[in-house]
Amino acid sequence: MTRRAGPEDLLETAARVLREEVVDGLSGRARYQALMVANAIAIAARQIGDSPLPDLVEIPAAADAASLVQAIREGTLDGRADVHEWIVRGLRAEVSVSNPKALAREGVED
Amino acid sequence: MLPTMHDRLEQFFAFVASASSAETVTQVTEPAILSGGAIQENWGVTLDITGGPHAGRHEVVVRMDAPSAVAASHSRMREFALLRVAFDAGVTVPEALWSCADDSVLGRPFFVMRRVPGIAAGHRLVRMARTPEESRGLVMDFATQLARIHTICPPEARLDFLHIPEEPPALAAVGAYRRALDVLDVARPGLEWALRWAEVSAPLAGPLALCHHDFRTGNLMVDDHQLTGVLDWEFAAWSDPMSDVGYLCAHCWRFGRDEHPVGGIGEREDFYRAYEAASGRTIDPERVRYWEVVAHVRWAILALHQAERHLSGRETNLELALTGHVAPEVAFEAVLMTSPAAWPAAAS
Repeated sequence: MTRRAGPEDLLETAARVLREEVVDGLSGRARYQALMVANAIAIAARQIGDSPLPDLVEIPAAADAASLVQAIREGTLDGRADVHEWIVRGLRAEVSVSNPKALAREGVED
Repeated sequence: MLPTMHDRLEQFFAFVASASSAETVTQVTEPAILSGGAIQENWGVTLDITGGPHAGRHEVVVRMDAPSAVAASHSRMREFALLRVAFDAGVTVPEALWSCADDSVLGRPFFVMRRVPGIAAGHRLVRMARTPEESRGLVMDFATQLARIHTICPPEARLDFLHIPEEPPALAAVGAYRRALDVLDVARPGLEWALRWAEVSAPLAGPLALCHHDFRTGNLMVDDHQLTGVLDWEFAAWSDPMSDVGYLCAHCWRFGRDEHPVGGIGEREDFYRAYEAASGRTIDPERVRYWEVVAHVRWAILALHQAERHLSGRETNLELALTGHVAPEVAFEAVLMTSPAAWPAAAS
């Protein structure tokens, strides 16, 4: 069996080459586009290893996302710590894929 | 496929000649597309005009809708009117010269404005070397310009296309953003949570003023550490002036320079002081914080709508696709700012 670099490895390495080697030689729109491509590749690499979002079953009073949204709008879940915690956890999972650096914001307000 | 400037140059020159009562209009440089928004196209061109009141050389920008535009933005004709009203109120904006609603000229309505020097790109602007005095001067410039925008109050006949909200602006915003979420047809519990907080925490309505509603780093042209033009008026509305202050200071518009709360450039204290001095209004930090939460909700929803243009297949565009990936971190910020401790006592 041949040992080969897997999809995450290839994408992460490709993004790094773009950022660390290709971008420096570019300017203007081409540079901007190369940075966008590197960002897209890095997100795709993280999406491969993406973990499933927290299960809705943990939410009292909501069977699915649509009824949760409905209950939030109606005000029956106002300020509820368990609901907030569940939402934070779900978004933390999403941010860890789209832009993990932004997770450092937790607990900071300025 | 819509025609570009290059396909319609003769028609364009004929339009300018007619609108400016000129004898001849010729180009000094080829029209070039400028870095612009996902919502509209901006073309830069230098014109030589002979005859009429505008005789001479003019560097102008021709602004028109992008191939597929966001529904919430104003038409070019309305943006032209907004620029005129702002210019007359003494706001530093590019002078709006001529508008054309006739599709036969460039295939889309457009207007022509004077080109102002400088850089608007947020990522570049926040990373430019500046002394503390230069940064302070720049955010104070932002403050006095914003205060000047807020001197424009309803009713204003030239802006009769702007709806005057009957309910408090905060509640009007909550309603509008919920409708914008409903269009997307995917449940977003985080944004819903923040919107419900915004509903129960809405500040009392105060006097309405013209709000730019996109007054942030990225839409403010800066040259030599001075503001040279407030751009992108397409989201302007009658609202709570503090909504603009919140938008400018929101974390999502600091371009990574978190240590400088005012647009990634300067400090709140300098901005607030200059705004208060220029406007005669008092800034309530709690009210600004409220509008910062709303700013995150608004930007997250706009980002989702922009991504939808790519996802729907209407417009294959990597920038739009990536904008959708900004939404989670922006919603995250809004949800962190609306933790249970931040809810009004009666609601928790």
